[in-house]
Amino acid sequence: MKVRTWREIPLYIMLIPGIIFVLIYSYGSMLGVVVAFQKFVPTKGLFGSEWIGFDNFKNLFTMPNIGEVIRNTIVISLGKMAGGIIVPVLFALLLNEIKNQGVKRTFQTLVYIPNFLSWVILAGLFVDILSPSTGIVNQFLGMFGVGPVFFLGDKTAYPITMVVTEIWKGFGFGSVIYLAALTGIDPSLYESAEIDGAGRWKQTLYITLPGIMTTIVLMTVLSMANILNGGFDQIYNTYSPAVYTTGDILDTFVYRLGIQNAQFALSTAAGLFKSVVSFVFIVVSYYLADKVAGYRIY
Amino acid sequence: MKIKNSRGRIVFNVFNFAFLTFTALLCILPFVNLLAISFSNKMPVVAREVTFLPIGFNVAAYQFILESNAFITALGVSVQRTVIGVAVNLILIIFTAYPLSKSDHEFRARKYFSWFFVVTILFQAGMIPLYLVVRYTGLMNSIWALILPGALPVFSMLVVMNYMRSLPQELLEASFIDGAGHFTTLFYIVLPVSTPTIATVALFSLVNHWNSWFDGMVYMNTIDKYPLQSYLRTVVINPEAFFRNATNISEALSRYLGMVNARTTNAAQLFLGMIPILAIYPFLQKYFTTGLVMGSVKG
Amino acid sequence: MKKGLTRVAATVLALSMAVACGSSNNASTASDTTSADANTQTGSSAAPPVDDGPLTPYAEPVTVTWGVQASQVQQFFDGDTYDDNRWSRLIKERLNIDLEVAFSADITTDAYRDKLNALLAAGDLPDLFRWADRNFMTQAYNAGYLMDITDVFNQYASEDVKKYQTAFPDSFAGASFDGRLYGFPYMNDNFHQAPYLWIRDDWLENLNAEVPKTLDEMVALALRFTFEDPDGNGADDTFGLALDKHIIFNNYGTATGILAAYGEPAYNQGMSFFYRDESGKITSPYTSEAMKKTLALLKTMYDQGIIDPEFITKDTATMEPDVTNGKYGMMYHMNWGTWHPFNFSYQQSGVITRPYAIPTDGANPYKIGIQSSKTGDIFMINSAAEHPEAIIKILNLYEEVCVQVPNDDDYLTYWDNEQYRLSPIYVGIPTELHTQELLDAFEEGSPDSLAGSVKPLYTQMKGFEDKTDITTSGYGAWGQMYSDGADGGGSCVIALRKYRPDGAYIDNIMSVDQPEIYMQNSSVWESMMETAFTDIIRGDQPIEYFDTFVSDWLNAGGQQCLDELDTLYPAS
Repeated sequence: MKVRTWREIPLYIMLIPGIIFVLIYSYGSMLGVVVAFQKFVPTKGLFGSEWIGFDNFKNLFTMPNIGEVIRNTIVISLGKMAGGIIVPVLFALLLNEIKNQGVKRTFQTLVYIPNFLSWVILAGLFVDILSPSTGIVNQFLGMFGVGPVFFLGDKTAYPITMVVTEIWKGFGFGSVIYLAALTGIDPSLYESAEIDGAGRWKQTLYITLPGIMTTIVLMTVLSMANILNGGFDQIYNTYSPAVYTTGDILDTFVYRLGIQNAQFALSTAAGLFKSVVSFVFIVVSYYLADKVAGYRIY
Repeated sequence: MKIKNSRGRIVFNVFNFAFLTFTALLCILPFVNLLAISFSNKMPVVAREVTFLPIGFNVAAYQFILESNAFITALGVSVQRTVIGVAVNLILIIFTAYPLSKSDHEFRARKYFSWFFVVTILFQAGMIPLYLVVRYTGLMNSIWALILPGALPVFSMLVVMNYMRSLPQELLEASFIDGAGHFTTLFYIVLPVSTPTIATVALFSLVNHWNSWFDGMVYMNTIDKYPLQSYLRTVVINPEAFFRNATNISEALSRYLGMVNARTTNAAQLFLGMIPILAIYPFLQKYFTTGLVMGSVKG
Repeated sequence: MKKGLTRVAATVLALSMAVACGSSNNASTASDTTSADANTQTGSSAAPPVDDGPLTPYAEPVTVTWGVQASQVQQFFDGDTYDDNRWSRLIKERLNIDLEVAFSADITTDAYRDKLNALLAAGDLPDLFRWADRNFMTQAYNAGYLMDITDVFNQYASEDVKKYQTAFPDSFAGASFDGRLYGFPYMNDNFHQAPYLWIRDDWLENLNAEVPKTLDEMVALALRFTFEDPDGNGADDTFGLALDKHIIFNNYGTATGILAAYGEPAYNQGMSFFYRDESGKITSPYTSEAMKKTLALLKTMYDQGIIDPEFITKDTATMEPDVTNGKYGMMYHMNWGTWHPFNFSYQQSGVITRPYAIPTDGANPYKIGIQSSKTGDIFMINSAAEHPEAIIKILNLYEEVCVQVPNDDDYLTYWDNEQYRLSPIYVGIPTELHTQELLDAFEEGSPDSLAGSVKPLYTQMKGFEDKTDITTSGYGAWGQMYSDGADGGGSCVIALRKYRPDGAYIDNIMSVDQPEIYMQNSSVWESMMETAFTDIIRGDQPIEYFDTFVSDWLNAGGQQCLDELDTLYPAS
């Protein structure tokens, strides 16, 4: 028993730095959410300000466009979630049909690129190429007599543009996990299917898809945790008042309230609301992941 | 495995290849357009003539930017932040992941510590509380404000932890029988075989540090301490305004005036901002599959 | 060292506050009066030695930290930087004060506001900072971050500086709470915020067109500017009227001038302008019939192609290159359009863009909204500043060098070409106030009667008139503003000879005190308004949607705001 404890000591030592930083910055800032229940006055500190219970939340939910903001957040994130599953799966299936490893690798390298670039850069890029007057996309559409479409300035087009560009950014890298799952399918299954005379389409339907279904279900479930993440970086860098009705999401709303309008308590309350909802979704989805796909986070 | 090259199959292959080529082009053509603009003369750019090839090829936009101290300073801050940041991330990830990858039998408190870290993913405070903590720990206006708050990326740590857990246990047991302690085992046995997962999370850290912009804006007090992405986000470079206001323009700079405008320099800046990522990630690409997948699904 | 100390001090302060208020927590008496008391004490407790004049240098160097509103427009000479420049050296030399830049952020984007608000949340404000947002100032005051500088000001300000208190009582009232001074105002007499219609000389000439006097004529001219190739380049690449994405905002490229023509005054961001109409009712111009008419007109112009369909992406920064490159024929803008952006097109192509009195509706008398002189930029001093008197001394120095002007060279070195902005505190530019004096002197043909700081303006005005001064200063800065030329004159002259006598000016009634509901909801209202207006102009919603917007706003706290304003600013 003694020996066992003694042997565990190095493990504790290793954990010390991680614990210190997480304690200070993650748990430390969690204390800050008490602001959501206060009439926060900075000089009075976190515990000196007047406690006002749920008044900030009441004010928050009586704000005129809060419903719209929540709706936009959910619509945009659902769109991203759906596209973020379907497109990478399709891409992985198609890429898997390429047998030449060099070609396959080249495709992968190219489609991964957008994933690694920041939305500051990509927003600059999209503002440029999607411009109705100077952008190359509208020049192209113009050749077919379409448009010009104001992708970032039109109420209908904006959320769709957000979903599409997000998928564009992430589908390549998102396919990594499915490609891996595909390599895990037992090749003998295909061989016997071929002997039975099943074509590629049938093979895909009855062997490939079921083979990666667990992964698909798992990824779907895990992405549910993002229900209130519309994507701050992307939207903050591309939106304008013209598309607030369909493009303003919780995170941008919280930002404008907090940093721009100095309503720290209200903004923290909105942030807390988002955290709680996300928390519920994460717990439920991880529970489902465990039940449906047998996946545990640790 | 034999593949029957039926007619249908060939047609499919051709279409599939064409489609994938199209998809891949879709992913890079925007960048090609940007690159073409950055190398073009401002007149064809204004006239919307530039698509995928530069017109009136010149490098004035790049020279203009590289001669501006502000851009170079911001680039320097980003490099410094990324190098230190990735190093700190990796050290903490490794030291935290290793103990947590032990079984409950080997490390009895494991479960509690795991929860301690996982909770921080589940529940995040808003930007203002975090700002207050950063401020109280005295990091304002220092590069550490961009590094320490996210010193331990918990998600990456879980990926590495799961990977370590999937390693063959015999390997580790042999090491202990030889009398090695945990530190020795970690450095000489576990780490060398964990290259794929370490490389993958290193790339995540790299991308994260390089791309972050909001923290730079909020925690840094002066523009000359902004990392590149914050700089790109807030400082609108308008070469025409620059030339108007510059009083002692060098002859070299004045030559650029006829060739560049806000759009070409902006394109050049954006492109310069992505180079480090584009240069590094292809080398780490081969590790993704093993590193990510073994790490994310419980072994 | 200094930084470390402030940090320790601030932490100790925050901790002690937390402890102190923690004990009185149950009583829940934490109110604004307590913090106001705290302010007073902090201010007066920093009692300085008595034998200290307005410009007495310190024996030992002291440090003042300040926040920089950085901008691309700032010109630097001789390798100057924000940290080390002609002002910081002058201040060091004359007063032995070391300036330290506490933070800098770009003022043309959101960066400065964001940074200042973050610093407010954390209580990390520098000794001296400048901002124009009363909401911010109130919060900083309630939080106890602002110093009561009444006594310091009275003791240290030079006689010349003190005179501003009597010359600009409203500005000083705007920098005060309960009769105590909490900042030094950037003293504007806001008449020059009025809108003018700026029109390019060359396009008028090319099309042989008249200056529009009515809105109808303005629209007709805008149509011609759009479709008759006024720049003669053979391409359909021009627009008649420039429009900013905020639509109704200040007068920089917005439609506030049209609203004014329809008889409703407005000015500034969001729904922040209120006034009492003829019947004495508190009114928001943004919800008036005139606003509806303005939107209907804008929609027509948008449909006709007079307004750039990409206006929703245009702001001050993005409009600048468009103006420079000659994309717009007309633009509503303020007095200072002559610097920004029109002197850019002047420098690029020699084109002069002139201000004209706004075209009117004919049916209604026009009204021009300006901010109450009580609101505006204010230099605020942190309650934790160790040497508030040092800041007043810098102000005295500024007054001496740039306003009293004992030496013309110094004046040009420290004031001209935006160099005055490098001083951490300065006397706002009441230069426009000298219009009448300048016109009189011009008539006499001699600048001798003018005060020191006004004389250079005379030269520039003269240079502009006889086209001998083609420098930025002659055209861009001042010459044009005072121009007494044949076309009704420069912007200052129009204000003096037309807007004023016509009784068009109406002050924003909301100045120092703002309703709670306004402070809480203003950002939301702003987005409601901008969304509704953009939708109407672009045809996403019919014009009747305006009524929906009005009732939505009234329900979303708008009515409450009007009611509270009625109590806050009782009719006299």
